[in-house]
Amino acid sequence: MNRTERLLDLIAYLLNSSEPVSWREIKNHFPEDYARGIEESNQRKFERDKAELITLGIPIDYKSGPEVSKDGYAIREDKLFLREIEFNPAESSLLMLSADAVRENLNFPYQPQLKSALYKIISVSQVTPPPPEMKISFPKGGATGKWPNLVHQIREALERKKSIEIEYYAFSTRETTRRKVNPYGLILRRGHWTLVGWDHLRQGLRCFVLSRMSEVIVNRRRPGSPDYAIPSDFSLKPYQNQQPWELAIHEPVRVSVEISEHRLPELLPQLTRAVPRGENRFDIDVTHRSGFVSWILELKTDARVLAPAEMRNKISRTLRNLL
Amino acid sequence: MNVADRINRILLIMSYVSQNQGIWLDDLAKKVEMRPQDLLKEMEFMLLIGKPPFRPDDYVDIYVEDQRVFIEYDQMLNRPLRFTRSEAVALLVSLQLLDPEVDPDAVESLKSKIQEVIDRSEDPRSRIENRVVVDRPSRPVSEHFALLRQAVEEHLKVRIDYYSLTRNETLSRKVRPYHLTKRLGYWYVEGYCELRRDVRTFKFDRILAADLLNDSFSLPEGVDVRRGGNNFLRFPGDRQMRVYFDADVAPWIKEQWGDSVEPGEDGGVVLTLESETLEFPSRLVLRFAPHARPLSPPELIEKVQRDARKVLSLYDAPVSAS
Repeated sequence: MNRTERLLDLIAYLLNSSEPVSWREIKNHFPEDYARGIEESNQRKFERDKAELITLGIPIDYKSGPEVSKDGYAIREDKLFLREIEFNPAESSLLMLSADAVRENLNFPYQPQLKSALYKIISVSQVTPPPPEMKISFPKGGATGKWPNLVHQIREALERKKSIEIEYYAFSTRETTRRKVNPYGLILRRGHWTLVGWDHLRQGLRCFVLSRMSEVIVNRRRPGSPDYAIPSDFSLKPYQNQQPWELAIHEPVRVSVEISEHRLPELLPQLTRAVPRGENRFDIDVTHRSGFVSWILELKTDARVLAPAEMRNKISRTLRNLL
Repeated sequence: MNVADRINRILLIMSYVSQNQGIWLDDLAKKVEMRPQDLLKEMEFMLLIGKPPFRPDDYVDIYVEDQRVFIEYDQMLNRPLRFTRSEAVALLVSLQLLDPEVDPDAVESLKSKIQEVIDRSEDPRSRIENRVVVDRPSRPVSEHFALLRQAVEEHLKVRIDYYSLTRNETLSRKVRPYHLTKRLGYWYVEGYCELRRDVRTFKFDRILAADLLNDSFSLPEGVDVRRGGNNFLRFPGDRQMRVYFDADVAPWIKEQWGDSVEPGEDGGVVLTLESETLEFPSRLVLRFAPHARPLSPPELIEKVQRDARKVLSLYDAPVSAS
């Protein structure tokens, strides 16, 4: 019997049983699958099947104790089904607005899962099309079609907490290195997928842009056991809106800037970690001078560094080079 | 398709047909994204579910009559299963794309309803939704969002004060807003600009003021937000500008501009842009200075020098106290 058939039969068998079923009964019902050869291998096979069904959303428990008629395995029917969800038309329309952006997009890490979640929702509730006047777009990935594969591989590694080996071309050093990384999170930043993880080579947290990876190999050893734990104090938030001057390249330099009023609505979201010093003056802790100077120069006369003199001089020198 | 995905699909077919007895075979095939002939094969396989000895009604009987699909069985799988962990995360991650401003009440209640369903079926300790982020941190989109949405829905013209980055100037314009789109985390309004007499895209972050006008317009034929996007954010105009970037920054330029880049001297690259104004190419040179140099046309070289001098004047002058 193939595995798909066995798992479906197991679901049917457990659901149709009026009381928990023992391991002996399961073996008797599936003699070809769980009662041949070594007992320990049969038990492991059953545990693997049970884990797969639990992943599919089928809650199988081992019940024992005075409250059950007999010890054994059973499906918790109270947790088995999706409850009816009542969306009003506006909610349903918004759900489809966000889903439409990604459900056909292979560059979305959970594309197949989102589709099956939507099928389930459609089965239990009425849905309304997205608002006709709005659209949300999601980047489709690199022209080579490499991203979607990498995104899905890394998402899978992240879910199971498996280490990966990558071949990575670092723009800053112009070198390709092979690195082992423990993935901590995946962020879409300015249209580029970026992996945040523990870099075994540098012994620290690093960001890796997926389009600069040429190979990703997920550790296939002990697939059911995680390779690492993500520290409880780790958060993706600092990386989510990270600005070019916030890359940790050197010790922080506090820089005071003045921004033209008409640019504030656009630039304020970039200055969430800056300290306001009046309506349009801010103190920014810069840990990557070059990134900061690029940002300031692109803004031309809409932003001006007030202090320190060191930063003002660096900007002047850079500009004089253009004359 | 792996075992888990196939089982998931079979269970979906069972619950979907249970809820929609007599669904057309072709419609069901579309729903589950299979060819009708493949669906029929899968239905044959479904007849094998269950192990003898069968009790009455133990087996799954799924069949087609006059191109309609029916299912009969006495098992419990007649409703969709709870969300799997990955499906729950998929929903939560996709909902990150919805900004509250889109519809403050509905966005909040939608997110809380989905969260509630997940909370009922998920072990909270095993969540990983905060491990994948597809949008920038939640922040106010624009104080003008609701007004522009109303204008789009009611086909009313608006007057906006808009800062144009490509012209480096703020002008008041009358606009017929066609639709709202979000790309790479930013919202835009696309519509006909009466000042430029053409369709233009306006970034919400650069709309400094907006007023609804008591002046309606008809949406031109063929305007469809679902099909749009080809001209999105393309610089109007066809003047060619060429900029050289040295080897230190060449990888970033190649990554960002791809097809518009050719190899240049000493490991650098030459980027060719088409733009109506000199403003954007000049800003690009300043941003990458001292690793960028304008090549052509001569007006761009002059513009970069003018801009550099203007910015330099800010640093030659002493800083006044606030």
